[in-house]
Amino acid sequence: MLQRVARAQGHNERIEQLLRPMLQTSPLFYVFCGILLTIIIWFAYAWYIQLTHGLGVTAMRTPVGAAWGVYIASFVFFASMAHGGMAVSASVRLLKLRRLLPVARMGEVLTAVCLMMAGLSIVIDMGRPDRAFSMLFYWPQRVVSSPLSWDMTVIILYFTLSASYLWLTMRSDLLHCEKRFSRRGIIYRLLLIGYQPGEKERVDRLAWWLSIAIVFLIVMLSGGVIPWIFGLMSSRPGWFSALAGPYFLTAAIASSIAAVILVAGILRKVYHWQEHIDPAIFKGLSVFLGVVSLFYMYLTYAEQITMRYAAPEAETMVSEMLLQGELAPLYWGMLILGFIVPSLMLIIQAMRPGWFSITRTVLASGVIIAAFWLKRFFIVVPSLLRPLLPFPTGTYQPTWIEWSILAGTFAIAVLIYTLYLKILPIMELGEE
Amino acid sequence: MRQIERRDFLKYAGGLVGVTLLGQYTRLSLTRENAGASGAVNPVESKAVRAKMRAADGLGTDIDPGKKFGLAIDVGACIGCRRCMWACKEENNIPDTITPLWIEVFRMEDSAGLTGHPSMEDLLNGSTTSYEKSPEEGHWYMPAQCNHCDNPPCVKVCPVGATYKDKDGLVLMDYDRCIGCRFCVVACPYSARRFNWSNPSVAADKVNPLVPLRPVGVVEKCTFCVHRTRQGKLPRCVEVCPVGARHFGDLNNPDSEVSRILKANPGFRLLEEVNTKPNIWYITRGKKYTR
Repeated sequence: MLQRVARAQGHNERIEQLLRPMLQTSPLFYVFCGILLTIIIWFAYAWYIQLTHGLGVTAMRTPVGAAWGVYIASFVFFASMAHGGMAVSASVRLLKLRRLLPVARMGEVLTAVCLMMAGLSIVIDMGRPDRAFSMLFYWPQRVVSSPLSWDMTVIILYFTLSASYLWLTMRSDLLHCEKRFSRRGIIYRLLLIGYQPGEKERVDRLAWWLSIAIVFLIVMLSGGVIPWIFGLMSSRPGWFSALAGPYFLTAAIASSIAAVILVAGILRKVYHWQEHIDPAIFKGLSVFLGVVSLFYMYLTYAEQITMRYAAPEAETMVSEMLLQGELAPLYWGMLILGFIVPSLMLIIQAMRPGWFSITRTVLASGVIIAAFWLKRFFIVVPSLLRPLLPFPTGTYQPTWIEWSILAGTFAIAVLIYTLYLKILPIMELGEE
Repeated sequence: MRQIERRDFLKYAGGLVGVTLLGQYTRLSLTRENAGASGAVNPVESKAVRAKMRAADGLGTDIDPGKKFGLAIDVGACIGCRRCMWACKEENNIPDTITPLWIEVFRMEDSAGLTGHPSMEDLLNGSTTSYEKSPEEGHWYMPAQCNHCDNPPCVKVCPVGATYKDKDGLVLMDYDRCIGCRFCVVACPYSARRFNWSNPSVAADKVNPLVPLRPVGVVEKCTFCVHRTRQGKLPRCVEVCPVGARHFGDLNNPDSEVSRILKANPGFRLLEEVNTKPNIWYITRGKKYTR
C-alpha cells in the first residue's frame, strides 16, 4: 500500500518536472525568441528583395554557373533530417525499444518541422512562387514522370502521416496539460476532440500501423524520390548514379540521428532533465551515429573512385574539382573534421565507461549536422559548374541574400520547435 | 456519437481509393490519346486551351503531326560570325539580361575533332565561346542551341507540364505556367535552357509582336522560331546565315532539303550517349575553313 502511494507520488513528481518548462518562463526564453525573430525579420526582408528583383539577386546563373544552389542544398538537407526523427519513433514502436521512448517525440517534432522547412526551401527557390500550387493542380499528369512531383507526393503523404502519428500518440499527455494549464485549455480541448477514456489501446494499434507505413515512406523519400532528382539526370556529371539512393538514405539516417542527439542534449541541459533522459540513450545513439557516418564515408569513397578510375572525362572533372581544385580545402576539411574525426571519436569514447561524455557527444553531433549540410552543397553545386558542353567555367559564391534566407529558414525551424516546447508536451508523461 | 466500425471504415476508404484511381486512369488514357502517333511525351494541355494559347501568341494552330522539324549545321562551312546568335536575339525578343543567348557558338580547336563529344577537356584545350575574331586558322566553329530532342529529359522532369513536346517535333514552353524551379535547366545535357533571373526588358520599338515577352522567373529557350516555321518560313538563324551552313526542314519528308543533305553527308549529333535523340545534326561537307 505504502509502496503504491510512493510510486504514485514519484509519478506525479515526474509529470510536474516534465511540465515545468511549459509553466515557468525565464527571461532568457524571451531573449532567445527575440534573437530568432530578428533573424526571421531579416529573412523576410531578404526574401522580399528576392521576390521583387527576381532570383538575379542570388549568385545562381546558367549555363555559366550553377542553376541550383544553397536553397536546393537546404531542401535536401531538411527533407533528409526529417527522417531519422520518425525512424527513432517508429522503431520504438515496432521493435519495442522502450529505452528510447524519452527521445521519440523529440524526433517526431523534428520531422514535422524539417518537412515544413523543406517545402519552404523549394518555394523560395522557385522563380514564380506565386504559381507554386500549380504543382498540385497538374499533379495527376506530371506524377507519371516528374521527380519533383514524386517528391511533393511523398512529402505531403509523409507530413500527413507523421503529424497524425504525433497527434495520436500525444493525446493521453494532453489530458495532463488540460488539467494543469487552464488558461490554454482551449488548445488542448481542441486537440483532444472526441477523446474517450479507453482510447489508448486503440490509438496504440493505429500508431503501430502508421509506423509501418512511415518506415516504408522513409525509404521511398530519402532513399528514393529525393536522390532521384539527381541520380536520374544523365545531364550532369557526378549525379547520374545508381548509388544515389543508398547514398542519400545513409545521409538521412545519420544526419537525423545526430539531430535527435543534439535536441535531446540541449533539452536535458536547459530543462535539467538529467534523470529523465538516461545517458545510456546518448551512448546507444552515438555509437550508431558513428558507425553510420563511417559507412557514409565508405559510400563517398565508392563514389569518388568510380568518378576517377575509368570514368567519362566530365565525371573526373567534377571529382578533381572536389579533391584537388578550388573546392578541395573545404571538401577535405569537411571529410576529415566533419565526418571522420567526430564519428571515430563517437565510437572510441563508447568503448570505456570513463571516456564517455554527453557534452562531447552533443558537440560531435552538431559538427556532423553542419558537415551534412555542406555535403549537400557539394552534391548540388559542383556538378552544375561543369556542364557537358564547353561553356566557360562558372563560379558560385552565394550572396548575402542567400545566406540571410538560409539563416532565416533555420531560425524559423528553431522557433517553431521552441514554441512547441512551450505549448505541447515533448515527452511521454504516462498514464494518469 | 455513432461509432464507425473498422470494417466499414476500411470499406469506405477502399472504395474512395478505388474511385480515385479509376479517375486517374481515365484521365491518363485521355492524355495518352492526345499524345499523337509518335508516342512522344504527351503535351499536357487540352486541345482547346492550347489552341487558345496559340491564337493569343499569334502562332496559328496549324501543327502538322506528320512533320518533324530538324536542323543540319554544316560545321565545315560555319565561319563563326555569330550572325545567327544576334538575329535570334532580335527575332525572339531576348532581353539583355539573358546571357548567353539562345544560340551559342563554340570556337573549337582543331585537335577537338568532330566527335560529337566536346567535353571539358576541349575547353581546357582552348575551346571557348568568347572569341573576338573569326574565322581563324586552326579553329572550327560549332553553334549549339536547343536540340528539340525526341526523348527530351526537360519535358520529363517538369512538375507542371510547362514545357512540352509538340506533334511536329518542337519542344516548346508555356511561359504562363512555368513555376521557375529550373529542373529542366539542370536536366538538359546541352545547357540549352535560359532563365529570367532578373526583370527582362526589351525596348518597345524593338519588340517582335509575333513572339511573346517572358516575365521574370521563367525558363526560355530556342523554339526553332515556331511563329515562322509553322507558317512555312525558315527560322531566322537559318535565313541570316551568310555561308548557308544551316539547313532546316522536315526530317520525315525524304525530299526536303535537310533530309537530302543528311542522306548525302555523314554527320553526328551532340552527346548521343545520353539518349536524348536530338534533332540537330552536325555535318561537314568537304574541307574545314582555311584562309
